[in-house]
Amino acid sequence: MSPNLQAIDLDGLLADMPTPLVVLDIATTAVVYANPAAQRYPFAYLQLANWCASDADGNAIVEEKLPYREALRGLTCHRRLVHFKHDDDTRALLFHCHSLRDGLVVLTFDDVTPLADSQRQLRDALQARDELVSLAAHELRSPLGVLQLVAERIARKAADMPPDELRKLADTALRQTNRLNILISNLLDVSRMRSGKLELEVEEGPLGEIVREACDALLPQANAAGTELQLHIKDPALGMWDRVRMQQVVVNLVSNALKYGAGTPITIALERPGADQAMLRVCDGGLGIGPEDRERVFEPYVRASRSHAAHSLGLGLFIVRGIARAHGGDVALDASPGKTVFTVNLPIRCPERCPLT
Amino acid sequence: MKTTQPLKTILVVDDEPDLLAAVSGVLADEGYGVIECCDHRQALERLESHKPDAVLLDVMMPEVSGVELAQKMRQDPRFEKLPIVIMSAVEGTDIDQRAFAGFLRKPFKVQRLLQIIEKIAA
Repeated sequence: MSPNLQAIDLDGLLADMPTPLVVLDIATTAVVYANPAAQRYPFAYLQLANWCASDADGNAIVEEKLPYREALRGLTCHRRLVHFKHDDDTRALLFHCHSLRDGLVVLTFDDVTPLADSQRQLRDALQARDELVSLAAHELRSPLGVLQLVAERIARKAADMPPDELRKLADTALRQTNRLNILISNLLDVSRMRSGKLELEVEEGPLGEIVREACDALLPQANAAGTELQLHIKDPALGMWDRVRMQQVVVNLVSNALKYGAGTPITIALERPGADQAMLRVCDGGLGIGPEDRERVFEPYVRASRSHAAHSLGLGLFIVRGIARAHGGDVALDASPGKTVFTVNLPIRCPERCPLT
Repeated sequence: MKTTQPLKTILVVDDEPDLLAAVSGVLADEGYGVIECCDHRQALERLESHKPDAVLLDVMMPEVSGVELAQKMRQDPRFEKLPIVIMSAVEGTDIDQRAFAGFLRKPFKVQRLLQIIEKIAA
């Protein structure tokens, strides 16, 4: 050993070392030394009943198979990942274990919890993407199913069909192509919103007119559902708006109310609670939304109710929120059994182009 | 003397009005009688007063799915032997296809629909 090394304060060095280090005695199975960094992780080298251990695949590891126990049986390891869990605390430790002379073993480990967390998030994101592809395929197949049968019926029977029947089939085909178009646009909007690339094309005009136009377009859908639309424009709310996007907000909120409102009248109200603020409210008397779902409904691919699982990707409210935020505003939900109110608060003035933040 | 076979009747259940109309239209074109239902309630109600020769069921429907409706029907001795064809757009579905007289993955062609119906309602 060189004189310089002898001069080093080894105890101090180990105490200051950021890497947790433990020395174990094979004969007595005692912990001979644990540096302060290791003392923050007693579950890694002591038998603590309230901690559970598992491997990278989530399989439970019994006490005897933990790295420190195996080290005491003379088994070494290199970069062995073990997850520890206690109540809400989860740690991922990467172990290294070597034999020393005189029946001692040294165990070091790194806390790789942040890395393990990001890996898990990545895995979850990949799973979510796979689920989305499957869900989107299902949603796209339904209108395709109708188009396939309608087109084949026309091809097979057009010569024998009265014009009215043909006209009905053409209307069906148009409805379904429109549905496909909306589905694809929604998927693309979600992608734009997630990457912060939604840009508005704003122009000066009354928001009241935009809301009225959107409601007019929804009338056939409301009539088919036997639902009354009650429009109250208390102020025209002249400002800078993206006409198409704001119509989308109204259409999505009212379509949502038509789906979940159980046929109760839907109120659409536009007010101006302050000089520089517009407030759009869409209210229905349906089942309401439980407290646990109130923030979730604004997440993409979430539907509030299993009973309406069909024919929806659950993107409408996410898009509403994205558009409201792009206008500098936001959307809030107030729901109780028998009443659901979505309130979109929007600043009256808006810069020319406002990318989503 | 030429005898005319009575028309076979198919009960079709789908919550998507356009698909319900499209399937019914194809069957009607071929001379089948069609009972259209938009949900499980209507289907069970119609089964009380009609005796279809086969049932075509969509899987994803509000409140009660096609598979659940099929289970309900199977519990009733009157419909125990009624052939049921399942229609689904879901990929990788865990439906046990052997439990049904037929399975149609949406989108399906007219020929496939007619093949299955002709086979089971023969």
